[in-house]
Amino acid sequence: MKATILNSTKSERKVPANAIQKLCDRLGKNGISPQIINLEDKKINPCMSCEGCLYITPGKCIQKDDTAEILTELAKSEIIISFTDIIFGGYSSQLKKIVDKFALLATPFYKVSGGNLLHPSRYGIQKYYITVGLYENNISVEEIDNLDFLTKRNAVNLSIPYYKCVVIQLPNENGMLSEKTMLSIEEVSAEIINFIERNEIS
Amino acid sequence: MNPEKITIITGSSRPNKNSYTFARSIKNIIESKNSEAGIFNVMESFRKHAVEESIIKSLKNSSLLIIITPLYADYLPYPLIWLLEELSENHGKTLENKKLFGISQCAFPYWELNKASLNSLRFFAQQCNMIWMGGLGYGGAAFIDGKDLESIGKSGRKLINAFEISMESIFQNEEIPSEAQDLIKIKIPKIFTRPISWLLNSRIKKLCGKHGVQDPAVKSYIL
Repeated sequence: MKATILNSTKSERKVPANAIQKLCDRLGKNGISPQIINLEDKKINPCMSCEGCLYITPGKCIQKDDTAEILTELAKSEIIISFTDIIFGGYSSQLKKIVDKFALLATPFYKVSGGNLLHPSRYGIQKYYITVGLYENNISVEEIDNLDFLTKRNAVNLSIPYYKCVVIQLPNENGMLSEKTMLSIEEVSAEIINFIERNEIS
Repeated sequence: MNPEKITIITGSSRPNKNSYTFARSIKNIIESKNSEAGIFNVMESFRKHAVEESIIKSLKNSSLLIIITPLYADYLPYPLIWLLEELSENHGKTLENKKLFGISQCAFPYWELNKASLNSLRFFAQQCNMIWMGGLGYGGAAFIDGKDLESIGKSGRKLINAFEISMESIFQNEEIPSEAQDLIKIKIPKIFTRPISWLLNSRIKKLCGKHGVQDPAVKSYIL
C-alpha cells in the first residue's frame, strides 16, 4: 500500500517534521510505503474554475505548475495524509492550494449515494483520507469539529470510504519537543496505523 | 439609521460569476439605504502577493465587511484563505470591532455544505476581534451561472429577500435572523436526486461531446 503525506507546514519547524518522520517509520514497519511532499516547495496556481480539466485536457489541470506531479502521486496512493496548521478551524492556504485540485481525483460525473449527489472516484484506489491538524494555544472544540467535518466532506465527495481527523498540540516555547509532545505524536501515529489496520480491505 | 460604509470582498477566482452576482445585489440594497459599498475581488490582491491598498483603505472607512465566497472542494478557496491569513496577521487592528457578515454558495443543491466555510469566517471574526453578524449558505448556485438575481425568477427573488432581511438586521446591529437562511434553503425531495444527477450528467456529456472529448473520466495522471 502507498501513502502520500502532504506536508503544508514550514520546513524549519521541528515538531511537524518529527511527527511526519515518526508516522513514516510506523507506516514503513506496517508494510506501507510512505512518500512525503513538502508543499512549501511546490508552485501550485489557484483553481480558476475554467473547466479546462473537463474538455481541454480531460482529467488534468491545464495550468503549468506542480499540480500534475502531486496528483500523479495521489492518483496512485491508497492513503492520503495531510498535515496542516489549523487556521480558522480549517486548512491552511498552503494545504488548500492542492486540495482545490482534488476534484481531479474524481470524475466530473455525478452519482447518487446515500441520497446525496457525489462525484465517482476517477482512479478508484484511494481508500483513506486523513487530516492531521496542528495547533498551539486557544483553539476551541468547535474549531477541531469543523476540521473534522471538512475532512469528512472531502472524503465523501471524493468517494473515499474511510476518513479520520486527528490533532496534535504543538509546544509554544522555543519549539522544544517536550515529553508530552513526543507522546502525543506517538499516540497520533499509532491511532492512524490502528485506523488503517481496522479498516483494511483485503 | 445612520449611513454606513461597507466593504464587500468576493472570494472567487472568477470575478464576474455568482459571488459577484450576490455582491452586486447586496450593493443595490445597501445603496437603497443611503449607505455605500465597494466590491473587491480576492484575485487582485492574490496576484500581487499583498492585500490591495484599496481594500485596506476601504476597510479603514467601513463599519461592516461582507465576505462572499464560492465553495471549492467543500471549503473556502485557496486565494481567500490566503487573504484571511494576510488580513489577520498584518491588518488585525484595521479589522477590530468591525462587523462581519459571511455568505457562502455552492453548485450542489445542499446549503448545509457551506457550514465549514461559514464557521471558518466566524472563527476568523473571533480571532480578529470583529463582530460576527451571522452567515448565509446557499446551495444550487450552478443554476444561477452569473445571471442577475432579478432575472432568474422565484429563487432570485428569495435570495434578494434574504439579503434584504439580513442587511436590515445588520444595520440595526443585530445578528441576521434564521428566517433569512430558511428562505433560501432549497428542499429537494429525495425522489428527484436521481433525475437531477441524470440531468447534470447529460449536460457534461453534451459539453464534452461539443469539444470532442471521448472519455471525460479518463485516468489522465496514470496513463
